[in-house]
Amino acid sequence: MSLEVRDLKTWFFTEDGIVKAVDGVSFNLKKGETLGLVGESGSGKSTVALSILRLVPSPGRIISGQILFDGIDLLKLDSSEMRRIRGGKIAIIFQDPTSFLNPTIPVGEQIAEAIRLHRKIPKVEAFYEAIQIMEKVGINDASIRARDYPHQLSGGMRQRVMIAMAISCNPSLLIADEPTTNLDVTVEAQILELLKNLKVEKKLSLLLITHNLGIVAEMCDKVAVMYAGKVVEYGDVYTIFESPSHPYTYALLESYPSIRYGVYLPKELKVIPGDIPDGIHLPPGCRFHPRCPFSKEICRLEAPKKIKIGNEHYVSCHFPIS
Amino acid sequence: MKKIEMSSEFLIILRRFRRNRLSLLGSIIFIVFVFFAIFADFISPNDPYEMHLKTRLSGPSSRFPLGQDEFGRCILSRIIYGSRVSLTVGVLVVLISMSIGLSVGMISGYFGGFIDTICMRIVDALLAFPSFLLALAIMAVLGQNIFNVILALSLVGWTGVARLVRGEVLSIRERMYVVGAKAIGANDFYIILHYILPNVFPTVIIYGSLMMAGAILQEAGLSFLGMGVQPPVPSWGAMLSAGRAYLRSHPHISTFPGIAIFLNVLALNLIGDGLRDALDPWLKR
Repeated sequence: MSLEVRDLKTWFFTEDGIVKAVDGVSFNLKKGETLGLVGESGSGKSTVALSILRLVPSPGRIISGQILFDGIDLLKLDSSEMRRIRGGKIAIIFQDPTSFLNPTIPVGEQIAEAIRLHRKIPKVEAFYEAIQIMEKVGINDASIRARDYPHQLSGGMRQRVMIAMAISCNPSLLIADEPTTNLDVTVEAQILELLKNLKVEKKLSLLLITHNLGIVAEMCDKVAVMYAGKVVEYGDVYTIFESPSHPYTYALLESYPSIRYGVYLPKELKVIPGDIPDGIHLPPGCRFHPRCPFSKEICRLEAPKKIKIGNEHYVSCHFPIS
Repeated sequence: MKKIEMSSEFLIILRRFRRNRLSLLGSIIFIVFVFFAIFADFISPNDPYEMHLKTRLSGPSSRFPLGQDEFGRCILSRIIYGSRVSLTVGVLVVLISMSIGLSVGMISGYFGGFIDTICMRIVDALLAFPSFLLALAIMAVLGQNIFNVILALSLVGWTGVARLVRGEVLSIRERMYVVGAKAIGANDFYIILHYILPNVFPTVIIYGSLMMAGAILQEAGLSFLGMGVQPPVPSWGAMLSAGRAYLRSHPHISTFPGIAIFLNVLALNLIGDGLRDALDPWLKR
């Protein structure tokens, strides 16, 4: 499995104007790796995930770019080929499992249906398999729980069901769109642990979308930091955390309490002044310049190009921090 | 496994439905009418077609519990037989309208765009006519018998279902679990059948129970105007109409069929109310 996203642009054509939710995003993800896609709300992270599966809701459209999955451009597939990819090769788990499960079908049957969409096996067999997968994702009394409806389960259980559904057809890439945002911390830790184990066991590649830097440090090999529809910095997790080059990445890390070497280091948490720009009224030049402490004249005039500053470490900034 | 699921779900709904006293009353009344319709031959005290001209127009007596009509026929027997017409019309009109309305509404709402425009303009055109006049016109063209009544009422009835279903589908198709279904590789047909249909079903069932009441009323209306079921077949609406001339002197002729219509319609409305509460998925526990 390999995923390579090249210069992806997904725009939303709203009545108020064109929202450039994703505007030239590139990254790649190798087999067995975990890539963290980080950024504030509204930076376009989720739109990237939906673009990969070609499920961008109207009025959004993928304008240009390539999404190469094992060398095949997903954007060129017809709809029945794409359906075989969805769930079969690339699966996704969403932030809010409550609204992503069909309220009218018991969860076990939903998982069984997901299996049957990709493999022609009898219903009973699929249901039996669904129960096994539910056990695997840590649902106790799976054979009883399988007959429950989504509303009868707790939030953590629902997320486990979503994960069971996602891995039911042995995909090679799992996209997790803020998988733990709606859960409390203890359940969050359990779900992350489960994802980690599944990743190793099933040799999954994981695209983890989150705004939680703690999760990134915990889970990811590579990090792509997104700001206003662009990837501003990309590198492996140690480089990003130890020596961030983009002022935005730096500011993000400064705004987050940290424990290093097992010791809590008290520091003053800094706020990034201002808000992320909306996708319609993007500032000219570098999109971060109105909030950037280092911005100069050129930042307002010219968009920075992606420059390589280390081994697989890229940054888009006129004045990268070294 | 499927069977167990279905029946336990059904039991939950039944239990919640039972909690509502009024709906329970409604269902009992309705079941009595169904019982009348099925076993009319055994329970009606007299032949509904047999005339007793000597005692015509006479009020309730021991032999004719609800009195006799203008030809001396037993009103109770005619009401019992009349429930056959009313229920047949009600059930079949609802079934036919539902099938057409559900299909059109789901396709229209789910796919949207051009298909939606075409379907909805047809629906608009039909809804623009006063529906009862349209049914009357259809009856005038097709001729008066019970099948044409069913056909005419279905032709005007499906549009409401289609509109209702389309509206529901528009909101359901934007729900996240439909996106989720697409994300596991489901195709449109599968999504409509497994995700859209079960979610519009509660609304449609409730609408159906109310629609049945409407269809029974409309049949009565058509028969009242002489455009429905033809005499001597007993129909509540026709009986109401026949008694009109004697309303001052012998009010019982019109009153009892009127009560039958009223009770039946009331029962169906109460059932509809109870179903709405029982089927609400957010109250499930």
